[in-house]
Amino acid sequence: MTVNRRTLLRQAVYMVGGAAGLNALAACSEQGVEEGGIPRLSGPGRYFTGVRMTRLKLIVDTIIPDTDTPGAVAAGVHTFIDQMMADWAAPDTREQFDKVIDELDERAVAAHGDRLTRLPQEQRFDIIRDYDLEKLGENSWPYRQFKNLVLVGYYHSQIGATQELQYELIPGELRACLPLSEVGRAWAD
Amino acid sequence: MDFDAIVVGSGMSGGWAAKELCERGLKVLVIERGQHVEHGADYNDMQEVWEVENRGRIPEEELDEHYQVQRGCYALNTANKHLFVKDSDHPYETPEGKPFAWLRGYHLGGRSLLWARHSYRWSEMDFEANKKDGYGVDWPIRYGDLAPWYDHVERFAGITGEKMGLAHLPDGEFQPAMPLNCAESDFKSHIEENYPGRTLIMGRIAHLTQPTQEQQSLGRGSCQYRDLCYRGCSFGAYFSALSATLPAAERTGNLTVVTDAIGHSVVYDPSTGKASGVRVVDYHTKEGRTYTARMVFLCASAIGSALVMLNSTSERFPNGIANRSGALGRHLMDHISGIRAGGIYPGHEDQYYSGKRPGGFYIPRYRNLPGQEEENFVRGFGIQGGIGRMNWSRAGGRPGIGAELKESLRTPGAWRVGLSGFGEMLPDPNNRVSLHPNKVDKWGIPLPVIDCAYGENEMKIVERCKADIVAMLESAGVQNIEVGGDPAPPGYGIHEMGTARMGRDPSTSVLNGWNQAHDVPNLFVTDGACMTSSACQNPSLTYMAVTARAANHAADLLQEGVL
Repeated sequence: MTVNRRTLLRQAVYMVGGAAGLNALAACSEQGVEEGGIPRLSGPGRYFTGVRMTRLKLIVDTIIPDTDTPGAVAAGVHTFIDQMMADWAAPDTREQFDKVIDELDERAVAAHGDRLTRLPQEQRFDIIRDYDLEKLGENSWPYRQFKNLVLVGYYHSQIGATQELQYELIPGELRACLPLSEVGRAWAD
Repeated sequence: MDFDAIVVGSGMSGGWAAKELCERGLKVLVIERGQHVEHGADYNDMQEVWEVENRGRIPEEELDEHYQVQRGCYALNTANKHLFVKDSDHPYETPEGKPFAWLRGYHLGGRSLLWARHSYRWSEMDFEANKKDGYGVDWPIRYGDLAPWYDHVERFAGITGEKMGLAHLPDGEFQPAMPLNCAESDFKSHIEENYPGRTLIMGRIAHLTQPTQEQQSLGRGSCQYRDLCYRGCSFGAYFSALSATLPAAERTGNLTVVTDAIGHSVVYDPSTGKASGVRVVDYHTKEGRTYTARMVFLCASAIGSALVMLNSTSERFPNGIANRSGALGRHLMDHISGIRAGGIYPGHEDQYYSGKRPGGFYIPRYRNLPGQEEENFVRGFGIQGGIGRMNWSRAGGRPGIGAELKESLRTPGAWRVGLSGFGEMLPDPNNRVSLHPNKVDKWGIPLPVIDCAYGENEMKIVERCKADIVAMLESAGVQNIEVGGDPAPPGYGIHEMGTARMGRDPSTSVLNGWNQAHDVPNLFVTDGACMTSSACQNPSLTYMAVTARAANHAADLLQEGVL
């Protein structure tokens, strides 16, 4: 066990406490394994514990994966959401984001008896897809906020705006009506 | 005398007063209560979308603590919050159950930096309305008095638009109009076919599409189609006091600007019967000082100017300067706003656009026009709107994740149409601003009390407007129509006016037909306060025109030795 990991564990338990702290220990017990180039264990963020950062990174990667263009992790969406928790969110919003992340983990445990972070990619995808369907079906405000931040974090990142979609700070001219084929992809902004 | 003229306020109206007076050779002092803002340097319009602090979102706790009212403004974000007041610093009171949103910024250039830029002339119908139906007092001017001044301000400010020949929305001196997009052109033909007498035009907006030599000489250039106007425009492509009027005033060599100086009151000299200057309170030191001048122009916004006048008491005017009529602070109007509906505009999947147009279309008033059958309400409403393809944010509320989601968002979404009505509010003496009897702000100035509500006529306009909007959407085949709820409370139109109205009779109005106080001949009020009725068009262009007209009249009077 490295010093870093001990530090991380202390912070995780300190920050989340109680039963959630035990979850944190379980989540950390599989450290060091990589899947699809994503390290299983992240350091703590400015707001999120290392455990939640790890989960968050896998969640945003599942929602917007690498395809022929880089996905959410390459665009730093997990770091962005963590920053937004530190710089933008009020305490109740932070709790809601924690809860979304933890609920997804709980779903994994309930369905497969294992942490979200340790599931094979297909199972993780199914857990998140079903949660997304259910929460948006009930118009859950916390989850809508969460998903909106994932989308903003990606499509208004440099990668999302310029590699995945199209973006120009200064278009310089207006062509108000033209074939979509002449534009190509959607504008990011 | 320190100056020939003092202009209180540096925004939409104050900038014009300063420009016209300076160009006529007067030594002018502009007093601005807020901070200095440098054109260009203090705008965040060159930030890439990923560079904007928190991607535009102001921290939730900061909103709760400092922006309880301003957060209701669609434009507020991290890139421009320095152009909004903190409500925590600038409180006002409203009676229980009668909310009024006073949305504003205190800084050089004022709200001209954040306006929506729609610019429409009033017509004869609007100036005759009060006399015709008996609500309010008669305007002391008619369209003909203002027409040459509309020409004057349009040429200088730069308004894009198309000449339509509509009697109730007169044409002006336009720069080439911006085009409608594919879906909007289609919608226009549906509306005009289905509803003879209704017209959909591209909004007449204050952006340069063909800058004149004069505009270029002020450092202004063409619109770059960024639609980032709410961060300020370093290209000077939209009209503001900072891009246009204040630089024009500055280059005469006759302008002095003092910022961080809060207008406290107008000083009245009983020996001359005139205003002798303006008392200010320093924003930082909270100390008072007085500037003197031959004339005073109040351009501090409808509510702001009324408050300064109410706070200017003397033996002759115990209830506020030039307030013999008791009309000062009363007849507060806004435009009824937040009358909304929208939906999915079908078809056109293979069409798109490039570049972001900084404004939408306009459906000018079509009810209660001269010669038409009268409705169950007086006056009318106009409708603003736009149609665009939905972007990636449409996925926020819809299920879907993964590569499939990503792929689907590469293509723009369906076209979405939104319409928003703006209705005329009648002048009602019970809608008023007054000074709090004992509470004061940080600078010792009495707190404003704003007591304003819609009346019966306003609610009938809302009902009719909403029904019309829905019917027009349905007739054009719009799907999944969503209709907004109650209209926004007064204030959200951000078109406050009427608190020192013009009129023919000094016993019922504050100003004469030259924006000159009936009882204080060297005191002029040319912002929204002067408006005798509200019409339903965006009012800034009219403030510009009345200000330019009044300033030139005042300069004439000074030249003739009358003032």
